[in-house]
Amino acid sequence: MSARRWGWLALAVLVVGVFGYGVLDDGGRDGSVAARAQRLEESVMCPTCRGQSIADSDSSAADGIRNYIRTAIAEGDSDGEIRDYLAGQYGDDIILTPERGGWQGLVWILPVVAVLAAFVGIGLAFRTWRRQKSPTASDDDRALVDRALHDTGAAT
Amino acid sequence: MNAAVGTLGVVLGLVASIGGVATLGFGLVRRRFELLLVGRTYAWLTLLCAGISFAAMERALITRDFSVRYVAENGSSTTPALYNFATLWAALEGSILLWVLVLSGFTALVAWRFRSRLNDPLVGWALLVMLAICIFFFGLLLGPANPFRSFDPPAGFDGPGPNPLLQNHPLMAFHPPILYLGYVGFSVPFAFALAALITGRLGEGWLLETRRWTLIAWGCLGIGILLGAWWSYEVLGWGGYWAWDPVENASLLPWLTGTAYIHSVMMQERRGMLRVWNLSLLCATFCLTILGTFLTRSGVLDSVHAFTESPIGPWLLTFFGVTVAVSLGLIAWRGDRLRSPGRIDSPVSREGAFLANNVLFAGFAFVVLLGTVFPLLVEALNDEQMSVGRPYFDTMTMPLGLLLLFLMAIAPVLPWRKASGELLSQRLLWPAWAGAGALVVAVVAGARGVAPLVAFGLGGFAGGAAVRQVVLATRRQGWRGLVGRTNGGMVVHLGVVMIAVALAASGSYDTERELTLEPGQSDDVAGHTITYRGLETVEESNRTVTKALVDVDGSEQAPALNQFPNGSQQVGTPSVDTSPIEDVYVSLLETPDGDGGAVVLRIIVQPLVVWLWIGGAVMALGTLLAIFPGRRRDPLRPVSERIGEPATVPSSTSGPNGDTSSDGDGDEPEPDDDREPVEVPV
Amino acid sequence: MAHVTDDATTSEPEPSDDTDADGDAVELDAADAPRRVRTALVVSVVLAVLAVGFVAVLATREPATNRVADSPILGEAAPELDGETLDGGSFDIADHEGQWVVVNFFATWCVPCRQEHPELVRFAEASGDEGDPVLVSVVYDDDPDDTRDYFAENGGEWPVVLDPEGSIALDYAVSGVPETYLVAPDGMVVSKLTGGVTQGGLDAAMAEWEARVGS
Repeated sequence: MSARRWGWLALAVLVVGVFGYGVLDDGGRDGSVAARAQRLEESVMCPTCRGQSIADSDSSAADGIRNYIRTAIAEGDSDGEIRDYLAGQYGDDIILTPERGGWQGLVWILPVVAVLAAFVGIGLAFRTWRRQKSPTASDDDRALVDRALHDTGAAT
Repeated sequence: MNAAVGTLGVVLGLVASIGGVATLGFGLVRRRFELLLVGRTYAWLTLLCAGISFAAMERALITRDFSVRYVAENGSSTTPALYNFATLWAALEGSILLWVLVLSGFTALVAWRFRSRLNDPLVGWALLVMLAICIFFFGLLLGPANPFRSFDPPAGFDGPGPNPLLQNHPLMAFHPPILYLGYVGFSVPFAFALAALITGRLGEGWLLETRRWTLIAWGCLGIGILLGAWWSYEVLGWGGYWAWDPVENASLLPWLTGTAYIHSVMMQERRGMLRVWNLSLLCATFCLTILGTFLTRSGVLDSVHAFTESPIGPWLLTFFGVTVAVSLGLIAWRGDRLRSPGRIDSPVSREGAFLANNVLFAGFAFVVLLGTVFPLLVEALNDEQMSVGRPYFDTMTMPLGLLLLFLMAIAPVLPWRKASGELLSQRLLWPAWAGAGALVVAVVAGARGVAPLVAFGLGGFAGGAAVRQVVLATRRQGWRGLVGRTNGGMVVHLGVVMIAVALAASGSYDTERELTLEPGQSDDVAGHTITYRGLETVEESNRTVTKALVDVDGSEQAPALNQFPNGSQQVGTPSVDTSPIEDVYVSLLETPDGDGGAVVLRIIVQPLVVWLWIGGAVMALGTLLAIFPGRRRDPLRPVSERIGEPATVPSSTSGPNGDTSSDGDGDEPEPDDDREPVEVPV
Repeated sequence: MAHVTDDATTSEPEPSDDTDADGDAVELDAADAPRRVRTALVVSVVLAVLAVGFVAVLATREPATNRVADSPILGEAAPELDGETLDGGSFDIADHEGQWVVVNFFATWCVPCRQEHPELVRFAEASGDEGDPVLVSVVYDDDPDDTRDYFAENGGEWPVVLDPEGSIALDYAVSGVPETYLVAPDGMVVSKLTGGVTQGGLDAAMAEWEARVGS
């Protein structure tokens, strides 16, 4: 069906074009100070109302930390230095994003490994299935089915 | 008197459950199946006793009977009627009472529904399991979670009322009961799963019978979760609806495994495959509800939602251990012998899609579970304190969500057994154009960024596939094309697509600002004009409400701060100006000292939020449609057609040549599973 | 050849030793799958081991609200504390070297803070002399006027420092109220007390430190 193929081709061109435009027009990750502060705030927990990040919390401790973050960014501290200071003050569990390495890194790796392993396992199962012959009906089986159909009086 | 009646109800309920388990157990082990008929009596007894206790507690609450400790700790003469009724489940002990009522209700319902087959060991074992669960929860009510303990109120005593956050919104009355219908509802298929493992009877009969129960439980759980998100959004003031809080995660876990189950069970019905896997999913779903109950009530994890700490933790953990042990034990003992020798012909088929679906949902559940308990594990093994918060969950679940969207697009058009590229390119063309259209609309509307655009495109693709299926079905069968499992399922998919698109939009394009405004002053946030008009104070029976009158684009909003008499910090009520395009969310952060001073407002503008709730309603509608029986299948039609051949058995739905395909060109017929397999008597 | 029996549609029972009375269990012939892996058994055992470990971890966790966080400023020099007080004056902790300083973070909306207030009043009255411990309160996330009203109604003559930006709370790593820090005469933070203090508790903590140091 050539018309359909053209349809798909046109579709592909349109999608790639529009998507590309939408992605590239953005200019990548927002590097402005406000965005950086926002990202940091979303990764630090509010010490008073644990369970919310300081980006979402109204409490005074959150206020204090937000002010500190803004000041620290203005003074040129890196994200890592800011996080290290806060972790030093309030404990390591104030940072909501687990580290990438060490024991904490397991939480990032394990699910990826698990899902990939599952897909690989299924792939292997397909290979095994392909090698097995599919069961064929024997004459006895056919006779059984015929008898059952006859018994129930169904039309054939 | 209320306490006495309530306690009596609990005691009798416990006795009835124990009696039921003992009688049924004896009857099953000794093969005296006539004894099993008594199961019905015990089931109704437990319901009666639970009902008595529930009524006693409500009466105590309504009459403000402070001689009952629970009422003294949670009730108040100033709480309005609806919230007072809902106070029964506002705190820990009462929530267990609600659980017991729903559980015994389901037990009685099972006994009634299977009344003609009570002497069947399968039903007997199922009832036994349900009564055993009743024993545990009635036991909790007598022991660590006793709501009927007495209290000696001093003269003029008035209780503090429920937590102020639980008196702010009428959803409080609906979210917990619906959620519990979901949680507890899953104990029915679990009971039948254990019964099937014990009796070794894995035939399709029990599966079909409990399929509706599972769908209803799943539907209620999903609606309960969404209502919780909606309540969070309307009440908590930070403009969000999901925080990956441990309690929220605890409710999501059984929903995820439940969703995997309702898809893979279709594989079992069609091809007889994945039987043990499906049983495992049911057991996992129930175990996860108990785990979730433990996490919520034990205090091991910090949460804004958690009930206060109580001695109930160890009991729930033990019950969790027992449930896991029984499930794993039965599967280890019986599982290998009950597996079916099926095979799947090709990965590009509906079977392949369901397999992928299960892997992704299981993976999703693994991510949520791991992230939630990881801090505990790390602390135990390494003595290190750490947190796993929103950045982790958002990053890890997003790819899974996008893959699931993609699967939702192609799976409905995939036939069973095997698909050809030709077939797919024909069936997917219109949905693909819908996806492209969605992408264009999004980019034109200003959306940018890889992840949201992928979400919008795939959402359109999946939505298009769902709509295509519904259109084809209604064209073939009229209004009946809307009911039945497959068609209802397509409507549910449509709801999911709405939610996915709303999540992508509101998560990626929100704007937040804090404004300090004098009376009469205006400011602009993301194109909306915010004007502060003045303050208004209202005295209500249970609180003092200070409202800020704010104009949002001319429509009046009134975010408020509520002061409750027990003196703790003020609780805010945000105000939301909703439209199909955007929500303007206004929170009152600070009131001025005098009447004429400035207020501090937090304004959050989020696009497409209302589609979360609309999508949820569509999901609920789809679930209802799916529960409605579709057309009965002719029992002699083969379940799967041979590839490439039209059906040889003439059927009223086929075209002149026995052609049952939707577009009349004689290729692989449309998946015809909108027709119900005939109920097979067990 | 695989025998698949279904519930009620077979007219003949399948001749197999391991079929249940109702002919429903599926038995796999050895000929079918020569090396059948007992997957269910293996997976169940693995999961059981993991589950035991998991339950053990959960069983040994302390409730989150009871954990006493180690303060990072314990054993360090007391962070800066200077600012405007409620009555318009000023306070600087550096002025009080050589004395005990009891730094109390509180708010009027915090119930345990209100419960500990009378104890603080008693403590302050007992320490009126020169060289005695100095009590200073820091307002945490509260309105200055409400605080003034509270002190007017409930007594208390000690300095109350305002902290509108939360910077003092941040320096002291305060995560909730009430929290009280004891600063020894040498300027080091020696103790963090949470959840509400009593006069006796404060005296005992100071006496214990002095006994240890031998001064």
